[in-house]
Amino acid sequence: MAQEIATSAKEIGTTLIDIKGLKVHFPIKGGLLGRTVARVKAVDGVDMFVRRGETLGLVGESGCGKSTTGRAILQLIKPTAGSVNFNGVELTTLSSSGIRKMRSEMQMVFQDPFGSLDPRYTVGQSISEPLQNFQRGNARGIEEQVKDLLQTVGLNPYYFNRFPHEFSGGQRQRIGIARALALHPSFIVADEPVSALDVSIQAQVLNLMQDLQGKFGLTYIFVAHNLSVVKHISDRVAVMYLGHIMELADSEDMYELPLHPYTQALLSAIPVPDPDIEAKRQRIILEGDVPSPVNPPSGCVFHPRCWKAQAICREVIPPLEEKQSNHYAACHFPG
Amino acid sequence: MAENLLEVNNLKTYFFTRGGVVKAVDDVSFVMKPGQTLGVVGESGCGKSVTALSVMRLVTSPPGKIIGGEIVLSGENILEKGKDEMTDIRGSKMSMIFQDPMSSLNPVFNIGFQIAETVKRHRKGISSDQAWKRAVEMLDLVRIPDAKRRAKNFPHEFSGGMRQRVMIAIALACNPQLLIADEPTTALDVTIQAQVLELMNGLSKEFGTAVMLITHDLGVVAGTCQYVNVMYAGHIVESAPVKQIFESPAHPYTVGLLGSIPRMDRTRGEKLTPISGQPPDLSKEIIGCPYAPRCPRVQARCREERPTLQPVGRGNQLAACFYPY
Amino acid sequence: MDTKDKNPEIFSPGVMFPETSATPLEAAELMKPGNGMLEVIPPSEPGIEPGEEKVAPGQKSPTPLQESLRRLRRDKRAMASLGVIIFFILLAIFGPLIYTHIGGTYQSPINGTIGPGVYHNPFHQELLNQDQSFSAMYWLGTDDLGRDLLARLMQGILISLTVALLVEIVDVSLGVMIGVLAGYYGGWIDQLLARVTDIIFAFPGLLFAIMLTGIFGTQADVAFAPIPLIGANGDARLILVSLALAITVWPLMARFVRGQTLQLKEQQFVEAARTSGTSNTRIILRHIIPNLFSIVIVASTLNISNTIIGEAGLSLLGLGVQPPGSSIGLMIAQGENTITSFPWEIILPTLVLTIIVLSFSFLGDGLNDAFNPRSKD
Repeated sequence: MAQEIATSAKEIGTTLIDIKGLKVHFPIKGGLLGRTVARVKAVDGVDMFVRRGETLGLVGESGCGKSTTGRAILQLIKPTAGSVNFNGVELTTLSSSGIRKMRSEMQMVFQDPFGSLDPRYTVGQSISEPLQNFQRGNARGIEEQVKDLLQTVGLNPYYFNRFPHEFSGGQRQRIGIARALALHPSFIVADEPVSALDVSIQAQVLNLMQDLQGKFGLTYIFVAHNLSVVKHISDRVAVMYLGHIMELADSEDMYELPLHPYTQALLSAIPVPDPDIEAKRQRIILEGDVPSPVNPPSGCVFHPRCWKAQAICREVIPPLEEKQSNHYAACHFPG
Repeated sequence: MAENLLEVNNLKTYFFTRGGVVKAVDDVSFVMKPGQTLGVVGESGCGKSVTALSVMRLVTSPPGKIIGGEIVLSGENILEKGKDEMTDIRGSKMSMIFQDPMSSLNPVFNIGFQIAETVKRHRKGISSDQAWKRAVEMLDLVRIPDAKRRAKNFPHEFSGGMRQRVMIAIALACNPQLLIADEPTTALDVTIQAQVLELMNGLSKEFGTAVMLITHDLGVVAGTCQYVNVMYAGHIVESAPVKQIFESPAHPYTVGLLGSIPRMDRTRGEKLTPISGQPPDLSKEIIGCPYAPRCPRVQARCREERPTLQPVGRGNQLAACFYPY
Repeated sequence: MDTKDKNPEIFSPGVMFPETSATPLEAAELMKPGNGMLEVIPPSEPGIEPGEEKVAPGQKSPTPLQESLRRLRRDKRAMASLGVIIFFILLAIFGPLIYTHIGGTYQSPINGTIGPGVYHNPFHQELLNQDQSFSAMYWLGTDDLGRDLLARLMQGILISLTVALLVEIVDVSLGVMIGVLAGYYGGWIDQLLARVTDIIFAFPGLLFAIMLTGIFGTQADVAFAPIPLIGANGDARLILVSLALAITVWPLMARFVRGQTLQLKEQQFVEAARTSGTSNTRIILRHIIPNLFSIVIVASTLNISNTIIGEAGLSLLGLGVQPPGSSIGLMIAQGENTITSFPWEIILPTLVLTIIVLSFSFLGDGLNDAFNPRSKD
């Protein structure tokens, strides 16, 4: 039943995107004059790089900043600080028209199959929009491309003049993928693309995304909170917590030997569909809740919930460093 | 052999909408013993939530209606009970918690009050003080730190995970025999989910409460349930002890489901095997097995006759299939 | 086997493409006829009302607008109200044209021999026929100046509807334009809108209109008099009244639209449009405004009821359309005098006002149900 795909056959090349010191802070206005009284530090210093042709999984629980990171990389949200270098071009210093030009290279697949398509646009119109913006042909030419794209994602091209409400969730996600592919980008940020889908449909869409990656040589950042899904589809995984990257490693390495305590807790919390394993598991149950990103803890943001925490953890923010080969962790006491 | 706590026999719950009759639950039968944990698994539209709501008789009517079958709780058919009797039963004999705790909690009353309210409703003659004491007790039980002080807090002052624990506190305040949990952790982060599930497990063991856990997450089922009902298109298609469901699934849908989920404990590289097609439209007449259009083992008989739950020859495993694995 | 030989144009739209685990490349192969495509039962979906008409293959599916109109057609009360409104519109426009040709010649002691063209004119006074009841000549009787009531009523309805239309045009254009800009861009436009709204809200609407018409009334009469059709006979005040009422209502619409825009702006399909490289202007015109349409139409329909009452109120107070012009409000004011002798003089305009206002309200409700259906769960 299960087919082996040789991951080594995937062409993973040089660095396509290099992100340094990325910060996204949202001001909270208050008071009579609307001054900024506090900041939501959604993303607070993220460094990472993505190589051509690979899938980097960005994982974490709610509020960790993963979605914001994805959007900030695409410049859909203006980063407060840091640099995003895409294929040699520094995105953060581009003007808005400059960014718009780059849109043909980098695209996004959204989470909500119901909200990501304008209900008043036919499916064909939604997919045509990027093509029209970049003048990729006349009306007939664009229609041909749209039908082609629908076919590529496994949908009947004759349904291009139907409306989103006539399709199921999984099919709508496919339409969203078709739209993202329209301009033939090299890089796609997928923001929780399967989270809103039923389990059996998730698999369809995940397979599709993998096939498309092989066919078009796409580079993905796959943002999700479901670690099993992320493990399956990613080459490398970055774990985020409260706006920081806690650990970054190859998929297998990360899941086999997590170095950061948070990763360890996270992995131990995931239920596995095997009652024997479940019965024997030792769960690390974290105390308390995730602190507010408005007032993150000092030093290592995880220290209040960490069983290994020492004085230094409260004072010094641990940098994301290579602790083992290709395995980075931001921890004073990894392992 | 302990008497059955809950017996659901041939339950049919239909929704009468302008577009047609949706057979959300179509002839469902199962039993629960006291203290047992039953997992009801399936994807959206399979009827698991409607089954739970039917047992609690909380189906929105119109357009929904329980048109057939019986629901026997501790020997009494609750479908024959009147409105007042039902409100007595809900909360004291059986209670329910839902996916979104925020909409189940009244934002203008503090938590302690809401728990105490339930207690006062079902324990005649109890004083407000005693009810409040019980409320704080329950908050302690569900491990809300500093329960005495936090009982005076309002729902918005709690995080999602804590609110769910408050819901559990309300649900268990009067020591019901049956707790129905409808996707209680789906909206929660994975680490919080682990907390809440551990709590539910612990409490159910401590008080002997039977739990009907409704979920789409097979991992959750593996970790918490003793028995599993797999539902599809308004029917139970497989029913078995948890070990057997995972080790030797019989119904092709169960097999398909297990094959399509990415697993943490497997190595990378194995491609997922999704189930082709879509779930059927429940407002249309379905002839034969509802899973037939998507089934890799389908034969002519499957399209003509509807299979019922039959033993498959190992343990207490039942599957509604003519050609089970 | 024969069907597979046919043109795929006819064959394939009839079958929903199955989502298989085949790779997309193979998908193209499966598309070709003769490859044993499975017939898949159409999807059942949370969020889609089960049994919602599935379109016949090959047919263009109805747009959301058409779906809404279909729902509206099913609403009997709304359709009845629409019928009433259309009736009144036709009555106001064509009624006078017909009425002035019905009836024989009349020997007026004062005005000589006159035909219906004269005595069925709303401004013509037959001072010897004051406050008469229903008759063959005066279908609904006359008022205290011997003017035909039916004629005056039709004129009054025309005025009411015209004012309502003018007000709504300004209301929607200004309200939507400023509301969308304020909601989408925020910044100084938003601040400006907030302050303007605060100022206008500080004045109770009707009072403000009263003030405006009270102060500028006579000047308006002079200024607008040359305008054909409307300017004469004291109807010039119409424009002022419309303006006054419009000024008081547009900020509400703008605020409403702003709220909706804020919501829409956060929708993922707007984000997706930006990601596709769509400019802000295009997003506003093509994504935001069309999705506002349904709520704006409901709001403006309901607002028409208020406007009609507002205009009637102003006229009642003598600040609206001036005599010898006719307005329903004015008729009600003048009818007060003959309540005991000829009560129909006041009952008729009141009745008409009530019916029109109710009809617009019901229509507005119906539109709301049609365009913004609440799911039945």
